[in-house]
Amino acid sequence: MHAKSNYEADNRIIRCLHRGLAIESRPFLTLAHELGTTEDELLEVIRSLIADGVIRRYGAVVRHDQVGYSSNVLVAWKIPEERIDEFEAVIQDLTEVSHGYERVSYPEWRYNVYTMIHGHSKDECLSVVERISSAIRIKEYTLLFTKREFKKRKLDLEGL
Amino acid sequence: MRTFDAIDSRLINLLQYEFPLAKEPFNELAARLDTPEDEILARIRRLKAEGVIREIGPIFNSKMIGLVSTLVALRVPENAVDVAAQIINSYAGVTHNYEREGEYNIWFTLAAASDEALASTLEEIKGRIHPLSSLVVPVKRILKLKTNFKL
Repeated sequence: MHAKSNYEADNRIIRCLHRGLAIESRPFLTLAHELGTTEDELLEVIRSLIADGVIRRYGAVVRHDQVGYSSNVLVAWKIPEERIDEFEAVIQDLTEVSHGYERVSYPEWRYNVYTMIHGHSKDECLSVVERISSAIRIKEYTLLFTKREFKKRKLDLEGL
Repeated sequence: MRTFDAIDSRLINLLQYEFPLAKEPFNELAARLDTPEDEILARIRRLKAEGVIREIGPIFNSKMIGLVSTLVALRVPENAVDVAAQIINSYAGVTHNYEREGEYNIWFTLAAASDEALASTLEEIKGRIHPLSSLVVPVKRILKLKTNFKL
């Protein structure tokens, strides 16, 4: 059984779960009714989606700026291909780094690795950048500080 | 910076990282926090109303639910940023859209149900904005994906 096609067939369940939980005593009951199933079956589906990696995490999404992480910076790095594994190891244990990606680069834009760094202040973010830079001995990076947030929301599956 | 009382702090952490997949999840949290369920529900509703908690639900691996996505950077003249931002925001597949410091001043993420849909939406956006230049930088490999917003 090919996981992806199976879950595409389960589109209805995905869309229903994606809308989020009501804050009430038995929130899964409402969703289960809508899907024509039982709470137990729905919970079992959620557990298997987590086990298969379709759901990365089930829980609250917080606004990090509201829970003390008021500053963040996106950093783009130029990391030689053969050293990306080393870079990956450096950022693993840094709790301030939430996201690390290798991305496509271009001759006019050679930055190929991106990290999102969170801190309680701009200085704290910059010191994490410094720590990564000295650990990996690479100074070629650019700080893409946010000037304005125009949009940040979960994906509108119904609108796609 | 705002502060939270001990119950709010523990509640926010449990809701993020140890949400009970049970018929009565809030009742289980209530037991763990030694607080009545009604009060737990009231606290969560308040935290949602205050915008601390956006939502409780699944965080999907977008690839595994059949979606494709990319990060896009645009270089747009200073006086055209606001209009460009509005155009970008109007697309359902856009989840993040920022003005940033640097040569490329607008960065947004775009998701779609197929490579073709992604490419055509991108062309449409570029056709409406006419950026001075653009970069399409999809993920080649995830190196780390671990949010840690513990209180």
